[in-house]
Amino acid sequence: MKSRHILAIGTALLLSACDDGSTDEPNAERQAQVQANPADGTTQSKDVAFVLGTDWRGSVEDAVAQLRARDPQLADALYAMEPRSTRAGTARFTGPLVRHPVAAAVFLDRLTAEGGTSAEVRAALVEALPRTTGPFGPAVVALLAEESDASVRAAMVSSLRTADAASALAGLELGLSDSAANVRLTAARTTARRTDGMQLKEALLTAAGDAELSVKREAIRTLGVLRIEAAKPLIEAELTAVDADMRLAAVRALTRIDPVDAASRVGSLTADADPRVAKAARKALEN
Amino acid sequence: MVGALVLVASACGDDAGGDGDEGSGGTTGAETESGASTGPATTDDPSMGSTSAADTEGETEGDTDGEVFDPETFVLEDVFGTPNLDDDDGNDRTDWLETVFEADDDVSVLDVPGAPEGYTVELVAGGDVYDFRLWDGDVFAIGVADDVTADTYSLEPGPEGATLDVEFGAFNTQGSLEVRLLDPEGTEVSTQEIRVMGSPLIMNHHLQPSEGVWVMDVDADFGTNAAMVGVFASVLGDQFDPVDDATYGFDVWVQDEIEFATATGLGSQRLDIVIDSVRDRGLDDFPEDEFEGPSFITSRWGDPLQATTWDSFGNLEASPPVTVDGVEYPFGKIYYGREGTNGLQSELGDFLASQTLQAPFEVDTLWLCVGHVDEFSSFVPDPSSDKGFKFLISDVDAAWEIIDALPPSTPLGRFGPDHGFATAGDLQSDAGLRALNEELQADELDPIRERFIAELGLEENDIIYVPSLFEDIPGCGAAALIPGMVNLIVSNPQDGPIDLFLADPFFRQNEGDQSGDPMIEAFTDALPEGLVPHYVDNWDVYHLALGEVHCGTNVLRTPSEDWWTTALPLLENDR
Repeated sequence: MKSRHILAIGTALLLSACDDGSTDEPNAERQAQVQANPADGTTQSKDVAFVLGTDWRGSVEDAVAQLRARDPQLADALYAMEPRSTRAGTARFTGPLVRHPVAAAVFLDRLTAEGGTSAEVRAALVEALPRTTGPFGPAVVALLAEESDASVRAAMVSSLRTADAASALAGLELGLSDSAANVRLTAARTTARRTDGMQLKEALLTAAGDAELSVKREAIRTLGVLRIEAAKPLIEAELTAVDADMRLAAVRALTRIDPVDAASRVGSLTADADPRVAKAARKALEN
Repeated sequence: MVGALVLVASACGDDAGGDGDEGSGGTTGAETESGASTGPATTDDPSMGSTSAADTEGETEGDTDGEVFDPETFVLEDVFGTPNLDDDDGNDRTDWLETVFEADDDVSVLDVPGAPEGYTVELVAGGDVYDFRLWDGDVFAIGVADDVTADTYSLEPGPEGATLDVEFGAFNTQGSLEVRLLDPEGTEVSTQEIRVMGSPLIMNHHLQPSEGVWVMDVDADFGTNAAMVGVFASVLGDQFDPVDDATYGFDVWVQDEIEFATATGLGSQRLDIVIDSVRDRGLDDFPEDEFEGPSFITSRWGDPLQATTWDSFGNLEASPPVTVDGVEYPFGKIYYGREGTNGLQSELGDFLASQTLQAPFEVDTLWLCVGHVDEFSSFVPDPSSDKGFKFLISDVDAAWEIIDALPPSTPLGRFGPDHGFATAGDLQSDAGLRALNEELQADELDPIRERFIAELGLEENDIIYVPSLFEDIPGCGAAALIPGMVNLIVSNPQDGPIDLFLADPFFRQNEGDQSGDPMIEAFTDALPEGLVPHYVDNWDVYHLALGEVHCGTNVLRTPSEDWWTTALPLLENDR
């Protein structure tokens, strides 16, 4: 058996499993057993399913209990798994073991476990939730209100890009009014990624007046991406902003909402001191 | 005349004199291609030539056999060598810090022609005097050794001539020797100045023949790269060397830990150098374990305590040879990611700039989460083109053109679970993703392309636009959404095929049928003839951890040019 990442990081659960030989198989083989058909998420190890009910905590507990009973090796592996270091040095859970619906239950359980889990690991657990292909939206929205670390909340908000609509909209609205600027910024950016994002129009218009410049800029960008007409006056006012990035966001937002109207308003910016703004303005005129 | 400083020295002359073609006679003024002459008879450089008393006074009668000695024939040739920075005797001490010894293959020679008895040669060192030294057999002659310094030396070559050993202690040593020939009465009968130069450190580029490819062999809970390793092994055979990743803490980024470079000298001298990154992750010991030894050294520049992602060597590359505004760069130009005060540490950047030949330039990579130049740019050979290469750059418009042409219901296999795009329609309808990529193209990739064009003298037909999409990694920056095909390696052994290894984009449902992948089709169609692409599965081990094939591989290459024949103007114009 080749050495393993999980062995190298010394996780107790898997080590004990290895001691009795129960996981004594190459990872590639183990992954093949688990992975099967990740594309449609239909294959579940030993028929352990995970469906979030109204009581999401109860659903998680049930799924985890089933998993421990029916596939203790997978349960141990998922509980023992630690994030790897990406090329950027950030922490991330990747690989076939993650790509399984029941992994969402385990990761949510790990998120709610008391103590011992660093913010970095919690953020990585959250980041991995969408890749499990399992349900997670309602749980993330609930945890968003409980999480104390802003970087973890930002990860939660970002994960909502692929969550069910009700959870995503509720969570993103929470995120847009979060106390931390980076969470509000992430919420604005994530809202732009959803086709139903315009349902958060009012929250975005409010965010476009955010005291934090980066949040304000991101909200204006999202208003443009989602082509929210009502935002045009607000955005137009930013064409003369002192901050060049804001002027750039405004030119682009107006162009996305109404290219013809934008062309009539950004002419003076073709000579902007910032070459990016001038280029965007020229492009708007070409349209 | 300065007397010789006698040091304790082991025998060196015979070996250092070289066997076969290892003498200094490999280059004559007539052989150089750069116009930089190495001999006085043909030199155009008044600073590097000779004058002879015989020019005006006629020939001088020698004292042997009644033959007439012509001082014009007393010509020494330039010395071009490698720095003696390795450890050929394996005693854990850099050879430059020792007296020369028989097994040392980084010692150059200075052949002093014969002269009649009683004639004396005076050598006067100039330039980087303390970065080279001369030995006359066991006798220390010029330079620095054991805290003794000397910049002049005299010897009587006699009718048989003499051979001195020359060592270099640093990269890009630019020294000289004034050579004065004195007759028995002490009258100067000729003088010349020769170059004594140590090789710059020269980073490899993709047109140089490959000698070996390294990849980490990964079998971990985060995935296995067995399929990818299998392709490398079957295509490359003996040129492939997988390394057990568990030995190095599951650090798969072998591109980031090391950068190969070489230094060369007359007589086929070659010193390989691993520039060892200060990133110091799991692979920290890899270069010492794998490469360090005779004719192979590891060196590092920078402060590990200040290391950032930009100090990884996916962020340090060299272009193929280019001519820019009439200036030839036969070793290409180095480029790396840095913008303002953020980027590759300046200690390394400044050192590379000091090597002169590859005139480094900076590119903005701050917009990326990882922040490396290999995430959006590369070069591949193009034997049929004038320049001999094509420049590859990521292009989001090229990707959207493909995506928008697909029926929205087209399933995208792995993109569903791992990126949240089950179909092409999911991508097409993601306005935020489209906006992000439009902005990256306009704000980052377009200016970067223009910078490469300006710095490398490129034309439009030198460029291949690689279909690419990026996604936002919250709080970090952009990263490849479609596995980055631009992030590739070139395997091109001498007289062998040109193989490219790059990420399988998996932009399809049927994983086993690459022929149905529109990204693969577009990339393959854009390649120059004669290149063989191998699209390998790097999804779990690399792509999902924000890297691709180039990030997880490294290639050793053969030096392909003699810097002293093709690049002296670059070096000398810098002084």
